[in-house]
Amino acid sequence: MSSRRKSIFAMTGTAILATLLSMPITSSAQTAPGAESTIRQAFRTGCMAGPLWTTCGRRLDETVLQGLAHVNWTGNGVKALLAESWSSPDKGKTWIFKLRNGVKWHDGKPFTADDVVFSFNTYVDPAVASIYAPKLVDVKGYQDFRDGKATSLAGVTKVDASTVKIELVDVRPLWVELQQISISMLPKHLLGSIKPSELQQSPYWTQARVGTGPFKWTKYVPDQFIELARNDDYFLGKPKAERMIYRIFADIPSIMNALSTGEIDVMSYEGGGVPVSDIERMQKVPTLTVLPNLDAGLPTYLQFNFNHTHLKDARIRQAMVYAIDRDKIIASVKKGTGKISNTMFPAAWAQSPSLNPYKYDPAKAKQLLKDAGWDASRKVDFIYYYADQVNKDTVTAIQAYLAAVGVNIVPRLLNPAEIQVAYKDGTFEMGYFANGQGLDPSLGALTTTCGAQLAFTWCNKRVDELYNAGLSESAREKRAPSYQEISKILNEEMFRGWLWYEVRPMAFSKRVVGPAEHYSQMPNLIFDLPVYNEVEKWEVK
Amino acid sequence: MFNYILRRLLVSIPILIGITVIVFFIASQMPGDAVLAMISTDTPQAEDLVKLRRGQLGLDLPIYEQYGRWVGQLLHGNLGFSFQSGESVISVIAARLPATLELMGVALIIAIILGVFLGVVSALKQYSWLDYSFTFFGFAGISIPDFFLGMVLVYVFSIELGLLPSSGISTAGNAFSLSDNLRHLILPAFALGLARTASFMRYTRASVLEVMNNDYVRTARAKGLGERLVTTRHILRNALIPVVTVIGITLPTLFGGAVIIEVIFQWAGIGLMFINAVTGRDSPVIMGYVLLSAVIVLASNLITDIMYSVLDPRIRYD
Repeated sequence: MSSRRKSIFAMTGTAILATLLSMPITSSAQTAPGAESTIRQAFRTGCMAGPLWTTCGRRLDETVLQGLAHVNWTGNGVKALLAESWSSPDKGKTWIFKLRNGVKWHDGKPFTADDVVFSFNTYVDPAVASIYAPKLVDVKGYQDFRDGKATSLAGVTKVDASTVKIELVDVRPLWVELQQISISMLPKHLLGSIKPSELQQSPYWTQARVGTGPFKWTKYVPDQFIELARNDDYFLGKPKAERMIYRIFADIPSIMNALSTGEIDVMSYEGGGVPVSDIERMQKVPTLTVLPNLDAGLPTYLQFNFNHTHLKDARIRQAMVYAIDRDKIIASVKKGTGKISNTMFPAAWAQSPSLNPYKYDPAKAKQLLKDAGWDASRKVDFIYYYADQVNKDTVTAIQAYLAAVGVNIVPRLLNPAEIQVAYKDGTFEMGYFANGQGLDPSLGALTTTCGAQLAFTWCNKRVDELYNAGLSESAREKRAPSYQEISKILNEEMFRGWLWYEVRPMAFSKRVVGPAEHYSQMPNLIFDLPVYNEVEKWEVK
Repeated sequence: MFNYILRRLLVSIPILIGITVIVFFIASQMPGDAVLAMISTDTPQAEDLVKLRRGQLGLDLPIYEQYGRWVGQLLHGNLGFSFQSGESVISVIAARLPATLELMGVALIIAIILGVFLGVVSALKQYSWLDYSFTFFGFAGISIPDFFLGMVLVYVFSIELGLLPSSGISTAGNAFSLSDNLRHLILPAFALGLARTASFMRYTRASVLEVMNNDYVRTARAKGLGERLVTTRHILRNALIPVVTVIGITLPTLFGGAVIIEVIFQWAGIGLMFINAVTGRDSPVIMGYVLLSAVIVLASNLITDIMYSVLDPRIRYD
């Protein structure tokens, strides 16, 4: 090669490299129209299947699909969306929904009572196999439809084009606030002709998810992003942002990197927040707002399998909590991320004011174990399934604290896919578990004890009565005494070895106004539900 | 030659069947299944729902019957539907394969160009400080795992210097542009390519050194050829034959390495797809990936053998 050719090559190479490097990271500004007003959010992979089958894709049910009413971000009540209003002539056994007038699907077709009837039936249809079907268990005709004795829900009827009547099997004053909020409305004119068993394979979910929400589906690029454009005709007013992009991520470190470099504005919270080890680093990034103490509404606890007789004595369970210096674990291992818990419900209004605080007291723990006749030579099989370093270290710390009083646990790490098997067959003695409690004590994973899988054969009839009592009223003041009594029983009995409520730190770009403000007002993060977050008001500064 | 290729292709069929059988049965032994993986770990699910979903996906059948169903679909040119998303596996793979090929191709080109160049220089200047420093970096390159290199590159070039994007294939939501795509490609391609550069460099160096001492090189010099001509025509031409084999055997490792690099850079190729499928116990997608990678390994071995005979006329297959 002549030296002139060599230098031409070298120059071209340098020029290309220089051009590539000199372009700003978000070269969007020059290329895409409206990019200045685009909000970019992280979205977890594997959540594309649509609201009937996935629990982690529900952020799309705030922007594209919608329900009749969504829970408010403040946790106080619900926001009327596709339903304009609702009422019950018989204190909560029959519900009449008046639909909002003039709402159109994104393809221009009107939203009507037929869509509502279709949607409720689709959720319950056994051939669809929706994981949300049990949310409608109170609707009349549910069991017949599930058992194949009926082909639709007897309790859901269209009164006229904009009125739907829903009959329940019993009085449920909180049905709208607790059950209905899980259900998204689906377009009958697009999905009604698809065989229910093939509904999941429809290209509707990934190619053109037509909804009624503030943003319209424009594009999905597998494993990369979902692009939504503003719905100018949105019934709550034209959204301020022109576009919403959900970038799909398979892991959290990549989300942290993309936030630091400004590639995304809002993180996802399903599957984890800012890792404890990254909080300090993220707080130093000048473009980010970090909310380090967002309550995840997630009590973490020692699970006992009551099939094992040696765990049945409450003193043994109390001793284990006395034996663990929870403040120290939170301060050191968890770097301050966590709030001590002594019962199940995170919501203050549902907690008894007189809970035993179980302050760290190893001497008391030893005494209780001695009184209960604990055999210190016993090895206890102990499962956990959170594989991140902080949780592994936490389990190690728990193991050391328990060993110090003579309880020898043998930790065993499970793959998350195995945990449902363990729930089902109960092949463990103790575990390090966490269960979502949600906003309301009756929205949690456990709302009854006798016979419930998550109770692992523990049964307290009084708790179950109180749960029912808590659902028979709609005013919070009237409900509170029931839950407070439950919280006291669960505290004294140490039904679970209460450790702490998890916090899930989140970070947001200061470029966008709305998400950080709304999330910071949430009493705890709301999983598994679409939330009314005033997305239409979010904007790019 | 034709007979040889045909024979090799026929032998591949039982190998492929064997691979799919083994993988299918091992995958089915993984704890948990697609239904359990899809539902939240935080709440137990109603028994009847889990049963329903299993029935819908065919997971309640005995394992040999599930395999039979999969083979049956395969014979109809269909790889089934993803448990997670309901999309057809062929379109799931087809949508992601170009991204992986792009990443692998560019990484391979980086590895070959850099590796051969450094290897030749190293050999021609044997025992010079240049040779020693290249050798040092070569060993470092072989020893540093590519995922670590990838994380270092992200830290330096995107987070600290802010020069390049930290992940993705292109800026989400923008119309595709080549320059944008290339900016996203630089870091993952170097992370994947540099580790292989080292092995190309070592092979080239060894091979060039061996050829340099051959009689015909001395003859070429003796008959008065210029040093450049001796190097390019007599040494390189012969020294690169073994290097071609290395390309062949690098392809499968590149394919495997791409899985890790794709996860680190969220590069939406089939490696990332595979990891997501394993986490989600999405066996139709897992099987699609396994079949594809088995075909690639077998094909790259075959192509290597064919390339041999093209490059070295002494090698004949009959």
